Amino acid sequence: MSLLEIKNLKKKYGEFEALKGLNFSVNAGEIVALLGKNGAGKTTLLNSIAGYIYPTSGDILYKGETLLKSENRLNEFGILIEPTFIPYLNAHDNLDILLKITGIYDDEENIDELLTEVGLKNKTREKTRAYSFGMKQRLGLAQALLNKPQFLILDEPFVGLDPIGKEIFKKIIIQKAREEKVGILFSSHDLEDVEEICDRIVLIDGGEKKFDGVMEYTKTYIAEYVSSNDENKTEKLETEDQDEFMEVLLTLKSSGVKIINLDIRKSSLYDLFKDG
Amino acid sequence: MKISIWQIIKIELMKFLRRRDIFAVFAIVAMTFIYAVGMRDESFKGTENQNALLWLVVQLLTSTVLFIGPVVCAFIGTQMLSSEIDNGSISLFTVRVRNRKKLYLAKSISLIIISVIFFLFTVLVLLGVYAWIVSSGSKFVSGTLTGNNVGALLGMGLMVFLFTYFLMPQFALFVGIKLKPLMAIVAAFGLTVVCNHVLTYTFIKYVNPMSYIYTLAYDVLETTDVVIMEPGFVLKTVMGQVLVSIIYFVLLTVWGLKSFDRKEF
Repeated sequence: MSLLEIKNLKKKYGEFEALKGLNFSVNAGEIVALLGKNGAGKTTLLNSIAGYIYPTSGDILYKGETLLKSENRLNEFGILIEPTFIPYLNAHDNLDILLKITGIYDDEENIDELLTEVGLKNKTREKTRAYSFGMKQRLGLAQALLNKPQFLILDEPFVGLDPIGKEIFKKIIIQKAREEKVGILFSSHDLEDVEEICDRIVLIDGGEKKFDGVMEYTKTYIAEYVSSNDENKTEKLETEDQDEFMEVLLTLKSSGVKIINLDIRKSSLYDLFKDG
Repeated sequence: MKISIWQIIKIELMKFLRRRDIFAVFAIVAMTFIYAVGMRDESFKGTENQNALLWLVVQLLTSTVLFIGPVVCAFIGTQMLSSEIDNGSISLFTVRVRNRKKLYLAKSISLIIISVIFFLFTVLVLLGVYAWIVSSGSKFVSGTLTGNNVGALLGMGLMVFLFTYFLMPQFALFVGIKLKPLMAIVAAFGLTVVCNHVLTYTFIKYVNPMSYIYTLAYDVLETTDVVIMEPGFVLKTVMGQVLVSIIYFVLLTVWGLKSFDRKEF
């Protein structure tokens, strides 16, 4: 059974359909990247799961039970969608109050540990209103991890982070998924980071799912050579079959054709993203 | 783990203290300080020999009719919800307390407790100012705690509390679901202006909580504490306003619960 299941989820704003019947699932210990262009419906979907907005129809199942009607449905979730805090409290007190809302009291050790883990050890007593965006992201992740979640929802987690912060985030995400079997659904426009950490990709466009699966990377072998019919013209060979490529290349060489350029082009996530 | 209404109330009270909203009292009593200075150097023109209760009620009423009290109390109300919606921190609660009605109700009850604390603190500061005037030997203060019309004055104090310190924050809490903090305060100010200017219309005077305050105020304050009020009349007036206030509170709470439950952030 999947940890999280999105079933025919629809969200309408008046006549505009932001989500048009989405279906997909996330398993325990799996890192799923939610990709899509601006306005594709990623944040609407994440907001629906987080309960910030109400879907028009469809269902969201967590461990086989609907999330939409359960009172304490999100207690096992860690959520980072636009980090928000109580601005007149410092980082430590923000986490402390969050624990109290969750019904846990006096877990100082956990708070200190988390703040150290996200790199805010020396900033715990500063009011969060003075935090930079990157620091807010770090504290947002600490908030998401505070209740030892079994499922993480992260909307653009790498935005505003410095390279060290990014590495910390990636390490935590991978460790949570691999060691603690936390299911993770995150959206990002940073395709290199997505390629690096995700197990599966769900691509949506215009509120519809366009791709759901593991990215298969292909290599295209390219050879550019002078045409045997006209010396002023060049011809191009493009193939994904390495054996065929080598065969053609040897034939060309043995017949004295001048090869101008050889190249191997690796497909990337960008191709998938671009083609929708 | 389920969180109870009482736990949310405790968190709200803690937040109120951390915000230091209590110091907004000094905005309410600012005018009082000006009067106090005038009374001390005897440049003030008005009722002499005011006892502490009369002085207190007059100051509370003055801050209400000058709109300072309602605006400050509306500000307190906006801090509970409108500001949190505005800065996004409400999501910390809505994610974990899935029952939005429970959350709104807890905020409403917290606001009542905060209103009482705020009112008592105002009273304390006003009595402190009274003592300061008494210490100067001013002819405007008697130095006694009470005089005539104790019941009527206590009733007026209660009515001012209900209008300014109880209904206004609740109104701001309710309109804050839809409006940004500043607009919610403007709405509360607008409501106070309307209430102050539709005091005598046939039907409206019965549903306007300010009408009841003025009914007693004209008789008690205009007669400068000399005329003895009839207890039956005082009781009828006060109970009328209490009833109207309860009806408004129930309506605001019911509408608030529905509206907050449907709210998308």
